[in-house]
Amino acid sequence: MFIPLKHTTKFPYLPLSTIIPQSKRPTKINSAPPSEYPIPPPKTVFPTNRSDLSIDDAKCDVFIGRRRRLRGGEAPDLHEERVGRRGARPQDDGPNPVVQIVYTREFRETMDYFRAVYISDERSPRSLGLTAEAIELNPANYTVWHFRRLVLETLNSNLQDELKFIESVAAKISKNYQIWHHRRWVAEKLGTEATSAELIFTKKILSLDAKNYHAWSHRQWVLRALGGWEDELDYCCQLIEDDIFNNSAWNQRYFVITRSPLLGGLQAMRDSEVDYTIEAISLHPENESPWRYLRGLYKGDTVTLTSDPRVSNICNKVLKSNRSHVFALNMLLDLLCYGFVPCEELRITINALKSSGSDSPDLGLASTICSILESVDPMRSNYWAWRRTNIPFQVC
Amino acid sequence: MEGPPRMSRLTVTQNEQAKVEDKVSDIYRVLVNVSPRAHSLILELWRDKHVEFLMRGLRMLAPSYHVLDANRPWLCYWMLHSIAQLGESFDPQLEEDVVDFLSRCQDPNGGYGGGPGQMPHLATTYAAVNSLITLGSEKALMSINREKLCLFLLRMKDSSGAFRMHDAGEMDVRASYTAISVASILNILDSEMVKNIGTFIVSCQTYEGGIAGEPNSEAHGGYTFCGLATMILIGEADRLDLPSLIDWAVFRQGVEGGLQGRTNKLVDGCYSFWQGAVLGLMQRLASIISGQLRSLYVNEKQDADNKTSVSASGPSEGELSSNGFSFLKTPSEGGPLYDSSALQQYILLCSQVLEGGFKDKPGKYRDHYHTCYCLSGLSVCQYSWSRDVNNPPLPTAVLGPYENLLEPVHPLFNVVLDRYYKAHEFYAGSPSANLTKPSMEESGVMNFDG
Repeated sequence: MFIPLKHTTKFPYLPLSTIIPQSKRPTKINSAPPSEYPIPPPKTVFPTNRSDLSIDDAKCDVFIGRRRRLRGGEAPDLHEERVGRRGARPQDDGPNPVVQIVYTREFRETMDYFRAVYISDERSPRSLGLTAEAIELNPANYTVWHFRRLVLETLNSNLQDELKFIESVAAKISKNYQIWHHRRWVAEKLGTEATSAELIFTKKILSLDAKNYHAWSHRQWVLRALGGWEDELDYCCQLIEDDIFNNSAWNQRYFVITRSPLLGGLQAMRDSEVDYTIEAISLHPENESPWRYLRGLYKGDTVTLTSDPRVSNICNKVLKSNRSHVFALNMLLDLLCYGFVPCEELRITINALKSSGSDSPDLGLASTICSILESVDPMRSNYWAWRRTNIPFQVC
Repeated sequence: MEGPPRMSRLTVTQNEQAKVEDKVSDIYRVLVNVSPRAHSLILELWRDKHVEFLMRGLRMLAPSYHVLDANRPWLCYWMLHSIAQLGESFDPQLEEDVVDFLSRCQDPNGGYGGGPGQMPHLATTYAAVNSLITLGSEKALMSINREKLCLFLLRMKDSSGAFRMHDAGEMDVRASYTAISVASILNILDSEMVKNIGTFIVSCQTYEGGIAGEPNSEAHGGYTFCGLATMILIGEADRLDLPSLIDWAVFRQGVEGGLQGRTNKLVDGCYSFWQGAVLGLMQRLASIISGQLRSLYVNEKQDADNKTSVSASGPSEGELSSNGFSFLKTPSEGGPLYDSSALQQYILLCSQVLEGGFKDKPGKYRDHYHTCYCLSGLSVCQYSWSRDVNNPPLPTAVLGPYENLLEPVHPLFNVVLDRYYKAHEFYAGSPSANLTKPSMEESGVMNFDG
């Protein structure tokens, strides 16, 4: 067998030494543009005279009206209506553009009109309409969102309508910094009247993807800035029940128990949380989330961590159960390094895991754990070897 | 068999993970059945195809790219940096065109926007600056208005110390990294910019050990790289809990060999860089880490109390920008704490697209973002056994044919190393002190958002 099956038969990894030299050099690539998009680059000059910036009102209004009509129905050939767009501002990409995107006509026209109102700082209802069109085409354009906020402020627009607009955009794309930053801006302006709407909105997004990073950030901001903590721990419980491997739900749980003004903080919650977490570990000892959460419950307090018998007991229980050992061993290694003194039973359990081939009776318990981990977790064998070199002198 | 079928009892996370494992294991199974000579072929980096894919994108992109219309300096960076790592040089005409285009994205008041006429944004500023440094010509390096850029960065700084992405924009760890990275590489980093950033980033390190985008959010590979790199660049890495950060990061490598971004999430080729570089950076922080371990572990507390903190005294003005340079002089200790071979195998077999480019995972499509970060991750892996990044690695450190070897990158800025040295030398003669700049009060930078 030429490939040592380093890990499992399911995931064979090649050793680094299987090198067969080849003398293959890349051929020189011509950097000339390909001919598949033979569109001439726009040759336009930006106006420098302020008076040139007024845009053709009639054309712009016709354009917006047409775009609105188009949203529901079919797209006609827009070419006919493009004539004479005086005032629209083409993008100045220069004579020989790079990373040039071949825009659709719809995209180019919308952005040309947007640029016109943006440059002239026209904060009007039709500007608001244009930002909506532009956002629909590219929700990542932060300049458009920023200008939209300026217009909303100037027009003193109804912010409840704005929440609906955001929801329509988020329905299509919910992982985007701009949408969520805008949402936060609106909710901040609305204040506590937005609390329940924001909690419902994020819940809806999280029901589609329970790990949406932006949605969780927003939800945490809502809770801290506007409140609404009452049902949050129940919500975390429900999500963890749905998917005990959902680390975002565990993270939210940590946020709630440490930050909720209704619960009294980490110290007050620790005892019941340790029980909850240990139960989760018993169900799935291979699940990293509750193990990390368990450490988090003793953050900055290694004395309490090492002296709580529940922690070493769950490790012992997992090791004896013949299930996934890695996280239990990692926890024990930390405990030992912090000065934990194991009972005889735990010592026996750990020593029983040593592979029969490695005959090193004099090895300290922490070193033994590192050896076991090096063999049961070969992906991290360098890490366990490094950990072994850092075991404090007293523990070796 | 008793009870319901096993699949129906699996959670969403387990089901998604199982699907990916099946696809990856199908790919790896092929390895077992081929000759050693074929291994080399299978593990080859398809340089020509990648360069072709990237060069084409540099000129023209299909209409579907309109969703990246506010990220065009990023497109430049992803492509140019990928090409540079592959060891290709740039045509002078192309170089001139990129400089011209990025100059059109540069705001008259400092910083770069996502396209001509767009507002300046920290992320696209980072991408534009790194692109120009990657091009490396004098014209490219001179095209950056450092004086105005410095003012832009200070305008983006919030009174809390953290940075905003753009005028009244979102505040997170990305913003801190992109601001500090450009300031450092352009030699304009000063104590005003650095003030209170360390405290913000420390507040983003979570109970898991990794760093989140904002305080209380979930530990995440992208933000962890940004946070750690920022702390090193400002000389405050010792304020993070590095042992717990390492422990979290090493567990991001899964059975597929690739890395995931968060606990219990799926593997993704782009984290080959974000997470891989975090562990690479750790190899040069050995002395800080052992100091932290001493103070953490039993009975050695008194010893640790005497250790001198790097941040306590604070570097003097003018020295701040040199952290990125001196970091490289620290030898890289030991080997990588992750499995470099397994990660290279994932990148080459699961992320590489034979028609050119790289992707997240099997079943996904290629894009320039993943191409850039898969290649960057591959480069970090290949040099992970080298004490000194300036020397070529041993053949045993490179999976597949040795011709797979990429150019080394500076792991804090993610630009090709020799381009970094060139920029460092170019800007060394004109540090921030030489730039005329109004005081904070005069420019009113702290007032824009209350």
